[in-house]
Amino acid sequence: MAEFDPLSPKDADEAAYAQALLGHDAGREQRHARLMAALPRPEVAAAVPVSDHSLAWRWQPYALGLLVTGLLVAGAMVLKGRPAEPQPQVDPRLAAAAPASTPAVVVAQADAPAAAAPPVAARIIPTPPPLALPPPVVVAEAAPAAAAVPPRMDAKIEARAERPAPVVVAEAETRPPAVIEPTRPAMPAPPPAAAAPPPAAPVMAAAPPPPKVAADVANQADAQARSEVVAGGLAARAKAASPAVLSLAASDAADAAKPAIPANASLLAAVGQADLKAARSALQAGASVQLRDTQGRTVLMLAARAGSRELVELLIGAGARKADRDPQGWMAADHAQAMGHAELAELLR
Amino acid sequence: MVVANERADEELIARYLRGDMGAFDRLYRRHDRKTFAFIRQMLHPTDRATVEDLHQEGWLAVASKAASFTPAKAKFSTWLYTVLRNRVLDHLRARPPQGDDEADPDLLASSADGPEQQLVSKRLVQAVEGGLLRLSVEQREAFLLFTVVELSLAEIADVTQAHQETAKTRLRYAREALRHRLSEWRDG
Repeated sequence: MAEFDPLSPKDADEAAYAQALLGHDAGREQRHARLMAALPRPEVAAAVPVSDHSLAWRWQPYALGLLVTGLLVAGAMVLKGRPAEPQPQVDPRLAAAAPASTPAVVVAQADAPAAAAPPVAARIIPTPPPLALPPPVVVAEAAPAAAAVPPRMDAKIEARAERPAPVVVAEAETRPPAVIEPTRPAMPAPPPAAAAPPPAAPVMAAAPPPPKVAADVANQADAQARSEVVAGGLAARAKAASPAVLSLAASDAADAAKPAIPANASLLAAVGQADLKAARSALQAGASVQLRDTQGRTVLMLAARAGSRELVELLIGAGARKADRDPQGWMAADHAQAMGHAELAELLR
Repeated sequence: MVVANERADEELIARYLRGDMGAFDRLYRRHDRKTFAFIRQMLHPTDRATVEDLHQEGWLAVASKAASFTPAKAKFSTWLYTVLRNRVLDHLRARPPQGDDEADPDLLASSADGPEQQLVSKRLVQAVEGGLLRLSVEQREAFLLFTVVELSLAEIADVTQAHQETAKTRLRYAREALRHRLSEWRDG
């Protein structure tokens, strides 16, 4: 008996069997619709035809969350994370010499030449000796230049020309004159009201100083005082601004969550149930016709899938866009076609 | 057989990768009868819903792996049935069929609401399905790929990742066994 050739043509039974299997299309269209509805769009081509609106829908929640988080973090950093304000350098000897309850006038002396600076006296009122207490309040006064200080510094600066106080002379670091250049008066200020003692005596009682020495020392003190005042003023402004930043972030988040959520939910539910009356009511209540479900499908696509021509016409009349695509690149017409609504698909093309 | 004015499978898959969803639609419609029959006969007598799900999962796997298809290495049909066969084998490993050898073809046919019910050769199909269940998975797939899908021996060897002689042996045994069973069925 000859060996059977496995590659011999199919016999009649095999051919009939194959024909029977392949000759019937029961469920074929449903399988096709189900597959095409779930078919992913290739990544290479997905980014090209997707409309701007679809991209906005995809990234908007993340962008909004990132913005709010950034504002909150920035506000928290301004409130808590900022470095301590620079404190005036006060010679311990001054603190020891000055009575705790009596303000003292401190005239700082800078090492660098300060000839360009106008003669201005700066008065520093040190706080009592304990180091844990807040930094001393800086007072710039007794000179015409003090009038040019912006009002925002009023919280830190007080004009105290009327109170006599012991005069103390101390050395101070140089501050760049350029920092205080904008607020410097054009004309030299008159001689300082506070008299300065000879520089040789670090701490001494108030005495009428030579006018020229007092003016030089006062100019240098003015440079330091103004720079400290500017730094303090900026910190105060940042502190004052941070609550405003936080309130803006909170109001943005509230506005994002505010718009017509019940109406939108009603519209989604109505479209899902092909309820024309409820959909019309939701639109009248302010629901967005560009609304999308959690899968990124527009209400028009949902209506197309439901096969409701009236609903589709209502949404198109309300401004729904036929050309919108879902994240898989499908338009409303594609959804209608996939669900077997050929006439509706033609309407949507 | 692809008609001359139709686009080749390889071109359709390339167009799909460029974003043409219609190309995949045409590709699916060209092959879906055979792919569904192949999966259904491989899994028989599992329920229809399982076959439907596995068929859809197989085609979705084809779509997701489309970028890895290399026309220079294999024909699309070979690659297609390799993907589908892997899905079927994964399913069979996860849920091995119980008591296939004892299955009654008549019961199997009555539990399956398939296209064969509307054909004159219904009982012939039932007899073949009963015979398929008595074959090993390797013999069954060789028979189906040859008889239903109409692949060549080399293509069957590629799909089943077996040597051609091995594939030929499986096919010979499967066809002989089914012929013997059908002769018994006709006589009895």
